[in-house]
This record gives sequence, C-alpha cells and structure tokens, in this order.
Amino acid sequence: MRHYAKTGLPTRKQEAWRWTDLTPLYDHLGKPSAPAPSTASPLAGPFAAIDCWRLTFINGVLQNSSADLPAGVRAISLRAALNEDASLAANLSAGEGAAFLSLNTALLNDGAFIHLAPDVRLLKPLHLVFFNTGNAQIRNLVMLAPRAAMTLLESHYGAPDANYFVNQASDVHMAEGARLSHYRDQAESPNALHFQYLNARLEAHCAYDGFTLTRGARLSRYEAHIAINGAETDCSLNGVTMLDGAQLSDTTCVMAHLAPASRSSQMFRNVLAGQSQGVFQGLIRVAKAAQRTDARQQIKALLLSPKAVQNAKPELEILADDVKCAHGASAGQLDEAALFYLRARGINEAQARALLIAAFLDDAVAQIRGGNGVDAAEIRNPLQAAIGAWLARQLAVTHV
Amino acid sequence: MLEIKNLHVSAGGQEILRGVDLVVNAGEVHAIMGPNGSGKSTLSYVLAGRPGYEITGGSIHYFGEDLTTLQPEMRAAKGIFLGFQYPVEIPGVATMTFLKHAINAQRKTRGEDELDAMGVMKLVQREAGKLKISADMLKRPVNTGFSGGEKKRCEILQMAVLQPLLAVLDETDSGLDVDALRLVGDGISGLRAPDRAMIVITHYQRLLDHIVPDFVHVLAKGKITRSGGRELALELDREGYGETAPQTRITAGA
Ligand SMILES: Nc1ncnc2c1ncn2[C@@H]1O[C@H](COP(=O)(O)OP(=O)(O)OP(=O)(O)O)[C@@H](O)[C@H]1O
Ligand SMILES: [Mg+2]
Repeated sequence: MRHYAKTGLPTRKQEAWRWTDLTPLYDHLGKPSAPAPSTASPLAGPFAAIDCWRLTFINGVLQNSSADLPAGVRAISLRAALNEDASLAANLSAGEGAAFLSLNTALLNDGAFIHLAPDVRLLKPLHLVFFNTGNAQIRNLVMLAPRAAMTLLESHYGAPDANYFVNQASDVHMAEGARLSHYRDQAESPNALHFQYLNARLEAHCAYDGFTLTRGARLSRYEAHIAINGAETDCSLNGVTMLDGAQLSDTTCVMAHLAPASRSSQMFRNVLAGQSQGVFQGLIRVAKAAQRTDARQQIKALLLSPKAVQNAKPELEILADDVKCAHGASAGQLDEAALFYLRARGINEAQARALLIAAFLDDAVAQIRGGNGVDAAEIRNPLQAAIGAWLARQLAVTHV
Repeated sequence: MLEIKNLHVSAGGQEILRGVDLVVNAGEVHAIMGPNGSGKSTLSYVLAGRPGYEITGGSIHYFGEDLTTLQPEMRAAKGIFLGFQYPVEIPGVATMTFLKHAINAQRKTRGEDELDAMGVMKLVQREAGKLKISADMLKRPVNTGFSGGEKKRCEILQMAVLQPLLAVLDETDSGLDVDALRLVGDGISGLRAPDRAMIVITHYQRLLDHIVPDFVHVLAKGKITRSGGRELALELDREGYGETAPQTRITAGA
C-alpha cells in the first residue's frame, strides 16, 4: 500500500498511460472488494464446452476445488498456498513503479496458485473462470517446474448490469523447458473496468503461447511484461480486440530479450466501431547479451466508424547487434475493392463486411498453436464463433 | 434482356461514358473492343453496380427493370455476373468458402434452397476440373498470390458455378498463355446458351476465335463508335483503331 499511496494512480501525463484516461476509476477507489453473491452465474463463453479442469472465482474468491488433478499438479487458492508456505510470496512481483500492481498487492483478495512439478504434462486444460459482480483484486501465481507443460484458460466475465472494477495480476514463472499455452477471453460486463497485469519470466527452451480476446469492459488494460531470460525460448503473444460504443482498451507490452537466440512474436488485430478507442504500446527490448534474437511485432486496426480511434506506439530498444526485428502498426478501413468483389458475387453488404472483418481478425487467431493437451482447433473454433457472434450483432447479419 | 440508352457516367468528377447505346438479347454474344482508357471497364462496373460511378444521364434496363437502383448483390442474384479485369485478392477467405457463400447468398435471395457443403463441393469440383483448377487452389484464399492466368481461370470457375444470365467478361483473356486461353475460351463457349447473353470485353481477336461473337462494338472516348459482325473484330485486329469513329463507317449492329 505504501508504494500506491506514494505514487497514486497514473495520469495521462505519464508516458505509459498517455492514451488511457483513468477518470472512470475514481468512483471505485476506497470501495472494498465485494463479497461473493449467493448465486453464481452459469459458465458461459468460448471455453465453456472444452473438456477442462475448472476453478471458479467469484469476485476473486475461489468457489470450488478440483480434486481430480493428476499427481504433481497443484491448483488451489493463492491464500491457501501462502498460508501453507509463506516463502511463496517471494515469487510475487512487488510492483515498484506500476500503480495497479501495487494496488493489487496491497488490497489482494485472492486468486489461483498453480504449480506443476518437473516433467508433468497436463492432458487437458486448466480453466480459471473469473465471474464478477463487484470489485475484486485478484492475484494468480503460476509456476512451471522444468519441462512441465500445460494449457491455462481464463474467462473473465460478470453480471451484465454490474458496475465493478477488477484488477488482476498474474505472475508466471517458467523454468527451463516449460511450455505454457495461455488463452484468455475478456468479456467483462459493459460497465466494468478491467485491469490485467501479466508478469512472466521465461527461462531457456521454454514455449509460451498467449492469446487474449478482448471484447468486454468499458475501460480495460492488458499490460504484459515478459522477460525472456534463457536461450532458445519461443514467446508468442497475440490478441484480438473488438470494441464498440465508448469502450477503450489498452494493450501495453514489454517484451524483453535478455538471453541469446530466442524468438518472440506478437500479432494484434483490433476492430473498432462506434467511438471506441484502441491503444497499443509495445516495446521490444533486446539486451546486449541477447544476440541472434528474432523479435516481431505487428498491430493492425480496422476502423469501422469515422469516430473510432486507434493509437499505437511500437518501440524498439536494441542493444545487441546481431538481431532480426520487425515491427509495424497500421490502422485503416475495409478494402472497398474487396467489398465490391464479394457483393458482385451476390453476398450482401453486411455479410461481405462480416466476412472481410473475420478474415482480418483471423490473422491473429491463426497464431494460436495449441498443443499442451488441447488441439489448436479446439481453441480457435469457439473464439472464431465468439468473434462471429460479435460481428453478427455489429452488422445485423444472421450468421458469419 | 439488356437495354442501355444514351448512358452517361462520371467518376472522380470526370465524364467517362458519354452516351452509350447497346441492346443485348438472350443468346447473343457481344464483343466490345476499344483503346485503353475508353471506358470499357467503367461500363462493366456500372452494369455490376460498383459504388463511385455516377450515372448522369440515360438508362439501363434489365428484363425491363431499371437496373441502376439495384444493389450489386441484388443484380448478381438476378443473374448479372462481372468477370473482373483485375480480380481482387481477399486474404483470409478460402476460395471454396467464398464460393459457398456466393452460391447460397444468390440462391437465398432468389428464394431457392441453399446447397449444403457437399452439394457446393461437388458442383465446384466438377467445374474446377474442366478448368484444371486444383483442389489445392480452392483451399487458398481468394485470388491471393494467384498468377494472372490463375485469377482469370478462377473468374470463369465462378461464372460456371453461378450460372448467370448476363455475363460481362472484362479482358478475361489478358494474361493467359495459349493453353489457358483454350481452357478459358472453351469454358466460356460451353456456357453459351439460348437464355444466356454475354458481353465480352477484349483487345484481341484470339479469344473471339474460341467464342465467336454475334456482334462486335468499338467503344472509343466513352461512346460506341462502330458496330458490326465478327468480321469487324478481324479488321480491327489487322488495322487497329487508327481509323475508328468516322460516322460513315458505322455498320448496322445491335
Ligand atoms: N473511379 C475513377 N475515378 C476517376 N477516373 C476514373 C475512374 N475510373 C476510371 N477512370 C478513368 O476513366 C477512363 C476509362 O477507364 P476504364 O478503366 O473504363 O478504361 P478501359 O477502356 O477499361 O481501359 P483498358 O483497356 O486499359 O482496360 C480512364 O481514363 C480512367 O482513368
Ligand atoms: Mg479495362
């Protein structure tokens, strides 16, 4: 709390928050986290039909336990884990210089503690379901021992008319040779404020495959800090953001290459309707020791209305000399020539738009690699269906 | 079937068509030739309903109905097909998926039953075989990375599966090698039918060896300046457009 009191909330004068106005948050400050309501909402969203182990959190409080997890796997509440072994706290990043992380550390409710012993490979995903009706400060700690592998799914959603603030931080530690597929669906209720802070540390020969579908919340920020600490590691961080009305969503990512011969790729696709605003800030940092790094980053936004805005700031900070880096940011409208081509073949205008937008977003969805106990298609298909449903609503077509 | 009267069209603030008259009846094949920039593609776009082309005068009737107020997708459902001079690349949409959408969108608009995936596949594969289009190409995104010749063959594939009543083929022969020209030529001729008409825009006689036109027109500076039978195409092929336009040489045509 001390750090938070010292620095307070960031303002747009701070470079890292240049485009994201936090005024809507002021109403929520000082309000405690909400107690869990007596009735939970049914599980919904793209991951609902996947065969998984599931932990459900309501306002950050764990509701169930997953008894049938295989040996070598722990998935319990973080509080319970810290009670057992207080030294685990050393693995939680403190959040110097990051206001939301400090706030989270200070006011923490609970969250998930996930630990895989060496060489343990989960044969089906573990799904964290976060259902919110009120304010919550959620903290997750994910620790994969050497060569452990799993798929971690996250669903974030809330009571449709609830007005709440969720601040979640996840620390992910991947030891040598660990593999994590990490797929998230952010579908918070339309009035919600959603802040997500990912702090991941990857040792050598790891593979991290991340994807986030962002479609909910009035104001949201996904801030990822990834430190590639070992050689020959693959990190892929991708996402689709679909906004409408007055929604604002900010994706801020620092990809730090600290060791040689690792690869990172980031592909983000945004589609912005109404007066919505997309923000992307991406820094690729290549340390002097990180020779033979291959780092890519690409953000493209499709603006469906003249009032929608995309702000993008891709940045490179490269101290090594033998590296391959590519980055690009663009924002534009649908290709009129393609639209006419489809219409000339009999596809109506709304349907043609939907097809083109879905194809545009699919660039990012196609990055999902799968493996680690789940086929890529099992993840991609329901995400594409969720995208299709959004487009159908947006364009008033029956199906996409 | 199609009746164009004194059609004037502007785009980008510039008058491109300056009084085109053309009548096309069912079963007929009309060739339109003419110098670069004379307005041939513009005419084809206006028939298909491309936004951005303003009709400043004249009329277009299709089966007696005013065509100009119809959306492009409605025209397609009513049987108008445009084979594009420059087919558009659509990354991310597989050719087979696109064909399924197109076939069923038209059927739905016409109030016909939609085809299931199997039905579409059979229809497409049958026609693709004739045009030597591989199954692999059908999996690739529409026109994306296709060679010039592959794009044109794909246009004819679309025409074959969509079975239009009026096909406007804009330079479907350009960019084709000799073998592809034969495939495409045979493909087009195979679609000649008593209830179907075609407007074939071309610069060369060689396509017209495969698909013999009933009428040949010269479009120059936004107007049809000459019309004749197939021999006009042969003459143009020999002599070029150098002498086009003198009023006295206009022969009776459509
Ligand atoms: N949207 C537009 N805005 C402005 N000018 C246009 C537009 N479309 C066509 N034009 C102009 O109109 C003229 C006719 O173009 P069009 O493409 O119809 O010619 P064409 O006869 O098909 O030529 P080619 O044989 O080279 O294909 C050209 O001068 C072209 O630059
Ligand atoms: Mg042309």
